[in-house]
Amino acid sequence: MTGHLQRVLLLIGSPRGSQSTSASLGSYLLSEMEKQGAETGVINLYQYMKSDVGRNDLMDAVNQADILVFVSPLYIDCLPAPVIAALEMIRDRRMVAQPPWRQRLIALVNSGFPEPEQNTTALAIYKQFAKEAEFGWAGGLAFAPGAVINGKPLGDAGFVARNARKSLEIAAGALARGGPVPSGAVKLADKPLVPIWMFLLNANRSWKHQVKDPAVWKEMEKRPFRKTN
Amino acid sequence: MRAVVLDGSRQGDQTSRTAREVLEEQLKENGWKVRSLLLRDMDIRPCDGCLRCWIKHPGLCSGTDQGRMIPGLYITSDLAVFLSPVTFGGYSYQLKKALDRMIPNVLPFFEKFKGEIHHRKRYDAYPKLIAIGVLQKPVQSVEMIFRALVDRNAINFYAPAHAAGFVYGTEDRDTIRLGVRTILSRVGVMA
Ligand SMILES: Cc1cc2nc3c(=O)[nH]c(=O)nc-3n(C[C@H](O)[C@H](O)[C@H](O)COP(=O)(O)O)c2cc1C
Repeated sequence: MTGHLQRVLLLIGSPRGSQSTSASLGSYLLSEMEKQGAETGVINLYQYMKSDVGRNDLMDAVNQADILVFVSPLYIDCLPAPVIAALEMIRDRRMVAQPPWRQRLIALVNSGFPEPEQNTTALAIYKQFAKEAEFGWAGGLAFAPGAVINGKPLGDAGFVARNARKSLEIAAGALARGGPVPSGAVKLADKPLVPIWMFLLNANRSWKHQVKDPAVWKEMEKRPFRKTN
Repeated sequence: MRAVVLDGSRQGDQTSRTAREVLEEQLKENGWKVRSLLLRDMDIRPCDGCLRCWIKHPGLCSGTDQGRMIPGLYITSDLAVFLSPVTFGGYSYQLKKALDRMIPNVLPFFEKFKGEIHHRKRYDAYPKLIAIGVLQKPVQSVEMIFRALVDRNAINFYAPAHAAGFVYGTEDRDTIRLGVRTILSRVGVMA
């Protein structure tokens, strides 16, 4: 324990909650931070943002944490709506409270598409949030494609997740020393978890397994809406 | 020609309101049918990521709230307008809750498009897209994020033309009108 890591709060921003790839990535980072002596807590943003009680509890947890770890999927090239709602609320409530804040924030994003750089805008939004809500920006990491992890604990996700694990281990070590996410962690995260050609081959095939009903399979390209003038 | 305006403004935001009014005026003057959705007054729940719109009843969301109609309104339009306070460089929650409901409009299957992997089209034609970001005053850093986001959305939504622009709280109605007109003309909607 170096004294820099005290309370780390993981904020999971996926509707799949604890079954999500976001949770896999965040939990792995958290367990690495626990090894460095951190006390950790987890919040499911979708749940907490549903009620006034939840929103107040979320604010209390945020205010008590030394490091916030936001983790979410990429939705329509940016953050899922309930995550944006949480960020808007946190900024608005902090603006009427008392600075100076000394908390830091790191963001992890994962996407369906296999190129990690498709997450760049989402990470830029988290960084801008950190600035406006007065958190120290400790860095962001993007992982892709999320489907190869598909909510499995990262430790059980095998060879494909090796770069993701290593990246998060490096990040945890740096955060423990009070530093930002180092470029070595970013470089490892920036490597697609599987080659793009392999992704294309497997991902398109996988839909047939997910669509159980042959009648639905025949209608996959259906167009329910038609333009009228 | 049909336009759908997705208004993601917050209650009491006068600049967004003015922007929407002058937008509607200009489109109507040019013969467009305009459907504006004030999203904050609508029952639109967050997408729960169930993917039934791909694997159970292709192209249709299984939600029973008003969010269900968003993909249809979008795809049957010739122009879609996103109106939103620039929020950390991106969209407001109010706009984003509607946009997250749009994945039925593409197929689950992937292909290479513009050098990257994206979902294949479900429909032959998609609307042009403009995004109007509302800010108190010009802030270059957040405007850059916003533009990058709209460029990315235009790829995933297969917009045949797109543009992003800004209106500012410091501007009067005439200046906002001019700004909106400029954005519209960039996608060929206005001479
Ligand atoms: C509504 C919706 C929008 C999505 N938009 C994108 C997108 O723009 N780009 C992308 O690469 N993946 C997109 N995805 C895919 C998710 O990012 C991907 O499945 C991710 O691995 C889910 O992570 P999770 O398990 O943490 O929720 C989208 C998924 C949904 C349900």
